[in-house]
This record gives sequence, structure tokens and C-alpha cells, in this order.
Amino acid sequence: MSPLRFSLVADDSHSDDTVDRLPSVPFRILMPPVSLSSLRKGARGTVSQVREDPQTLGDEAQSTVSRRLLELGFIPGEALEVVAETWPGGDPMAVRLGNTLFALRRREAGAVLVAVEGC
Amino acid sequence: MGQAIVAGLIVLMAALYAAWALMPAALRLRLARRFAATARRIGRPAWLVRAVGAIERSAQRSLGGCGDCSAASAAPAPQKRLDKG
Amino acid sequence: MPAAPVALEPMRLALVGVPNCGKTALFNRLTGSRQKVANYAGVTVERKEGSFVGPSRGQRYRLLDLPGAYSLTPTTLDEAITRDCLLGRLAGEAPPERVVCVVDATNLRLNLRLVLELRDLGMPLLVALNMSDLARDRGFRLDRQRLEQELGVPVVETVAIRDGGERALLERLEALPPPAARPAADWLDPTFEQIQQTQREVRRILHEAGYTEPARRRALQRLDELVMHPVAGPAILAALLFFVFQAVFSWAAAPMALVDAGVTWLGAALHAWLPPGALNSLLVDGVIAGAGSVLVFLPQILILFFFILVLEDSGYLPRAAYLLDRMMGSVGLSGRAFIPLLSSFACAVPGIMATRTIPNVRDRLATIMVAPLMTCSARLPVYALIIAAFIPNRPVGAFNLQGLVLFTLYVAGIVAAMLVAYALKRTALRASYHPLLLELPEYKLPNLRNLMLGLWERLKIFLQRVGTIILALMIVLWFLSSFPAPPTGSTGPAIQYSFAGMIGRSLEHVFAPIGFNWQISLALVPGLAAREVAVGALGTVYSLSNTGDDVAATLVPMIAKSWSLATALSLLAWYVFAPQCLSTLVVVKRETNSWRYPLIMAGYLFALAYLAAFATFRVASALTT
Repeated sequence: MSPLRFSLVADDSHSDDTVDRLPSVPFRILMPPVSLSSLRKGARGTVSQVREDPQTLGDEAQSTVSRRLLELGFIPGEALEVVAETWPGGDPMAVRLGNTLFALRRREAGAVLVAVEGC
Repeated sequence: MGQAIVAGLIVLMAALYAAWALMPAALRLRLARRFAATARRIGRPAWLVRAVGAIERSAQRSLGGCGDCSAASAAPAPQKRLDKG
Repeated sequence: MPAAPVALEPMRLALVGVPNCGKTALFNRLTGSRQKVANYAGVTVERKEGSFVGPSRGQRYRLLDLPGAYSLTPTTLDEAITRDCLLGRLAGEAPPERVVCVVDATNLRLNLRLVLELRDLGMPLLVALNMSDLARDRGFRLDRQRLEQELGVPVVETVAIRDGGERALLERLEALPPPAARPAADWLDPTFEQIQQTQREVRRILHEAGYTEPARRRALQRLDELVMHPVAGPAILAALLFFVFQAVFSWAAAPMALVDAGVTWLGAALHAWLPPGALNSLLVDGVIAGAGSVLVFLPQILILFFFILVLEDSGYLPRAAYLLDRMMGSVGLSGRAFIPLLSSFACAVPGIMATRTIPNVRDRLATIMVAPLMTCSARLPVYALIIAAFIPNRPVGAFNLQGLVLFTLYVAGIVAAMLVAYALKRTALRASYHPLLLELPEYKLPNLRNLMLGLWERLKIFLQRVGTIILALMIVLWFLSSFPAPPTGSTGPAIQYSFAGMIGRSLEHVFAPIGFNWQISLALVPGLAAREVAVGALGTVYSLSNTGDDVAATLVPMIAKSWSLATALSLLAWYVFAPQCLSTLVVVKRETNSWRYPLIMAGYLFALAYLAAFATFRVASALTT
């Protein structure tokens, strides 16, 4: 079910060898941000927000998943791409954030909202 | 006869070493401290005092089967002390 | 001539950085062999300290290698220690006078935030821009001086893996004025908005400093697509692990034969040279047959460690953790548990200590409880001995039957661990969520020098272990096996009448149902100190059982002819489970701060060992008669 997308700028070419950089956000109208946990392999976009997720990561009260995501660089504007999924189930997934790869479960990815690029 | 004496000495040293290495770390440290204190009090021969001091220091480090890890180091951990937040 | 006087007391430094920044390599480069490992007072985290001297002024430094941390808001015990140490909250540990923050030049976006956090705390900082040669080669561009300006702290390039790569750091350290005394830092966990603000500042600084990151190399991109492929990935992992086991057997065969020949030659020569007597027997039957039997397995252990080190260094392991996370999650473990569990294949002790990187305490406990089931390298001599004696060296398809059996034993340990973890998580250690959130560092070609150093370390440790505790136990065992001497006119080997014989005979009652004869039962006792000792003990016991001049006969043919296949298989099954290692129990006690868990662990493992051996013995006996 792909909603209507309106792109004023041609997509970055995928024909060269390089990995995409930050897309030019102001010139696109994108679909509303979706949770990273719903994205499949190949999806690209930029982080739009990290939701507060009260799920704790460690034993200390302050160490929440969302805080750690922020600290690792999941901040608004950062380029993101889903590069791999496991089988079966697609959980966990691997995402490329800027130039760093992370492996995370869908549950943790749920806190990240992504503005997805057109295809 | 000579062989038996040498063999006996070796066995004794081996037994002492094995007991030393395998005993609980806290006990080992306590014994080492007691030895060192006694040696210092007696004061001589000087080389023995130094040797016992070295044993005490080594008791504070790791001994036993896995020599590489700090796992067997002497100071027992009374309780976790982590300030929250 | 030096401008400022050199301080009398060595200056206290601390090394911090996010994981995977090369901090440990830099620590090793700076301190070399002058390292001391102990424990922090009151907690069970490893404390690594080393010392070095400045090049030109002779200033002495004490360097503390703090655990890797992504931030000062900790999620794991390790990170909490780093924070507490920096803030001066650790009992008996003065806060460092200067902090050297190591950053990975190829990943500044991830690494720089911590620097800002530390800087804003008022810590006297020095930033070590590590892997700077790698960054330059790969096409990263950075204006170091501009970065220094923007940060407001000194920034020095380092190449931790190269000789002299720390030179610039040392010179800069010495040139810095001594840090002013400051009050203990106050720390409040930053709010979400503050964290985002810091991140924006990081990007601004990087932009000002002209930081450009090249695209990832296509070859590595393709490699990851294969390695992390949903189907090919696990297949590659399985193939890799299997290959390692094959190699452990086939590559080690020739060196082992060499060591074995050397040991037997030495034994025979000594036996002939010394006049018969107690010392002769002690040296030949106790020392050489005992410790020698263990020494023979050195090549296999080194090869196993070689592969573990290569895997660790290459950056592959986190990807394996990613692939296995689902499977581990199904038994209630975090995918992050994979790396401590893999370390347990070398030795459970560092594996258990590595569980400090698991955030949730119940996950951590579950991982600790199953770590000893990972076939540690000390089991290898026992497995290899029995396999060599009872499993024919026959090819099976593309593989070798011996390698196959070894692989099966390792798999058995893993399966057992998964079942136990499942049981634990269903009952005592229920936890609802198992976080993964793992960084996958870039692939690295393992550094040959580090590899050799790591193997050398391992070699030294192995030789030390054999030369001290194993040797001591073998000597004691020899004594117990030789006295009291048999009464005149007795038949059979003298050992039956000795203390050891008596102990063995009484233990035999316990172990007869699972097929162990008295020699095996006896060998298990010193085997409690270290698993390989059982091999040495068998060597001594059987050597003393030799009547006549059968001294040159090695252990393998001896047990091949005196044990049944069922007994051998039963012993294998026993060893998969049995907690024959005091060091492991001790470290579990340290890591969990109570004797309850090691006792529970020992209890359940012995029970499983007995059951498994019993079942194996009965089934094997039925099938072979």
C-alpha cells in the first residue's frame, strides 16, 4: 500500500558505487514518519524523531533504550538505511546510520521514527 | 637412599604449593599476612623476610589454575557499590 | 632542558573511549608488559593499570584502562565503573588527574559525543585520534588543528598498532601543563533535549573541522551482504565453525606427534640414565608422564586460540551475534551473550567476566550459569585423548570422523547450554525483554603482531599452568600412587596398593554405574583443579601401572586396550557437563557476590554429568555387546 508521494527533486542515482549521503530533505514531501520497526530491507530515509520508550536497557532507571539510541546517533536528520534482516521473522535487523552499522531488534527500533525516502 | 630424600623434598614442596594455590583466596591472603608479620618481627635472616614479603604480595594477585585472569585475585568483593543515577 | 619540574609522584591518567575504538591496543602500546590486573575495591570489575615513562623528561605515568563506554549514563556494569571512576565515586580510587579519550578517526560521529560529555564535565582532557593512518588511507579528511580549536582540548594523532604510533601522544602529554586541582565533578544525567543538543554540536564541530567520510568500500559492502544474508549468513557461520574444528585436528597432528615423541624420548632417556629409585620414578612416571601428557596438546590449544583471536580481531563476532540473536532469544538469552559465550570456548573464566557487557542482571546470570557448558580449551586434551584412542581416523565424505566427533561434542555443549538457559528463563530467571542494540564495527584485517602477541601470551599461560599447578598435582599424585609400597609377594601393578589405589577403589563404587574404572575415578579428583589434569593423572596412573620396561608406551594405546568403547563415550559425556574447574566456580562467586550461584551451578552440572554419562554408558554397552 504505497501512499502518494510527491518528489520535486529527482532521486539520487543508485548507479554509482557510493553509499547514499544525507538526502536533501527540504525539497521533498515525504510520507508521514513511520516507526523503524515497520521498515523492511532496502528502506531508506532520515530519522525524524526518537520516541520516549520507558523500556529500560540495563538495571539503572536512567538507562532506557531511547536514551541509548540518541547517544548512538539516532538524531533527527541522520541518514538511515535498513541493510539486512534475519530469517525467519526479520528480527533482529541491521541498519546503517550514517556510516555506522547497528544490529537491533524490532522492539528497540520501535522508538525511532523515520521519514522514508521515495523509491 | 639419596634418591628417596630428594624425591621426598620435591613431594613436600609440591604438596605445599598445591595447597597454597588451591586454598580460598581470602584464607591465602590471611596466612600470607600472618607469615609476613611474623617474619618482620623476627627480622632475620633478611632474605627470608624479603621472600615472605614477596609471597604476601603475590597472594594479593592471582594464583591457581587460571593464572591469566584476575579472577582469583585476593580481595573478596563484599558487595556491589554502585551509586544510582 | 625541561621547562617545568617533573612531578615526583607518577601522574594518574585514565584511558576512556567507546567500544571498538582501539583503546586496548593503545593501552598495550603505551604500557607494554608493565601491566597489572586486579579488581576494583568492592566490585568485581577488572581493573587494568599500567605504567610508562615520558620520552624526554622522564615523567612517570600511571595509566588506568577504563572499560569501554558509549556514554556516562551507564547501561552495563562496565559503563557504571567507568563513570564512577571518572567522577571519583569509587571507594579507594582517586579520580584520574588527566583523561585521555581515545576516538576512532574513522567513526568520529559516534566517538566525539563522549568527548564533549567529558569536556563539559570539566575533565582535563587529551584526545587521542586513533587509527589515524587507517583513516587517511581510506580517504577520511580532517583538519586536526581546527578540531582542536573547536573542541578546546588538545588532539593528538595516534596509531596504536604501529611502533612509535604513540610518540606524538607522549610528547604532547609531557608538554601539557599539569592539570589544576579541581573539586569532584558533579554529574546529572542529561535530558533528551540536552543529548540531542550535544549531538548537533558534534556535527557542527565536525563540519567546521572539514571532516569528510568516504563511501564504504564496495568489497566490504558485498562481504556484509553475504555474511549477514538471512540464509547464507548462518550457513557461513556454521561452515566457519566446522572448519575451525577440522583445522584443530588436522593442523595439529604433526606438531603433536613431535611433542609426543620428544616427551617419550625424554622419559626413556631419564629412566635409563638415573639408577632405579624413588627419584627416577618420580621424574619419569610423575613429572614426564604426567605433565608431559598435557604438554602434548599444546599445538591443538594454540590453533584453537589462533582462530578465536582472528575472529575477535576481524569484527566478525558482532555479526555472528546478530545472526544468532533470534536463536538465543528463543531460549531467553540476549544476542549479546554470544560474545561472552564464545570467549568461554577458550576458557570460561574470561567468558564469565565478559558477561558484564550484558545489561539486564537476569540475562547476565543466565549467561553465567551456562557459560561452563561451552567446551573450554581445557576439555580439549581430554576429548582429543579419547577420540585419538577410540575413534578411527577415517574420512567421512569431505570430512574426517575424528573432527566430526569433536564437532559433535562442541555442539552438544551448546545444545545443553541452550536447554539449560531455556529452563532457567522459564523458571527462576524470568525476564521479559532481551535487548540487542549492538554496534557492528567495520571489518578489520587482523593485525599479525597482535595475533602473535596474543598467541605468545596464551603459550606462556599454558606453560605456566602446566609448570606450576599441574606439575605440583602430578607430583603429589605420584606420591599417593607409589606409597604405601605393595607387600612382598603381591601380584599386579604396585599402584593398586597405594593410597591412590585405595582412593580410586572407593570412588569406583560411585562411578561404576557409569562405567568408570578406578583409574578414571581417581584421575577425576585432581581433575577438579583443572580439567587437563585428568589427562596428566591418567598418564601417571597408567605409567605406574606398567610393569617391565614399557615406559615408552604412550597413554593412547594403553587406554585403547584397557577401556571399553562404552566407558570412553561415557567419559566424554561426563566431560561435556562436569564442572571440573575450581577457577570457574571462584569467578562465578566473585561476579555474583555469593556462594549460592557457584554451588547451584556445581550441583546441577554434576547431576547432568552423571545422568548423561549413565545414559551414554548403558546405551553404548547395549549396542556394543
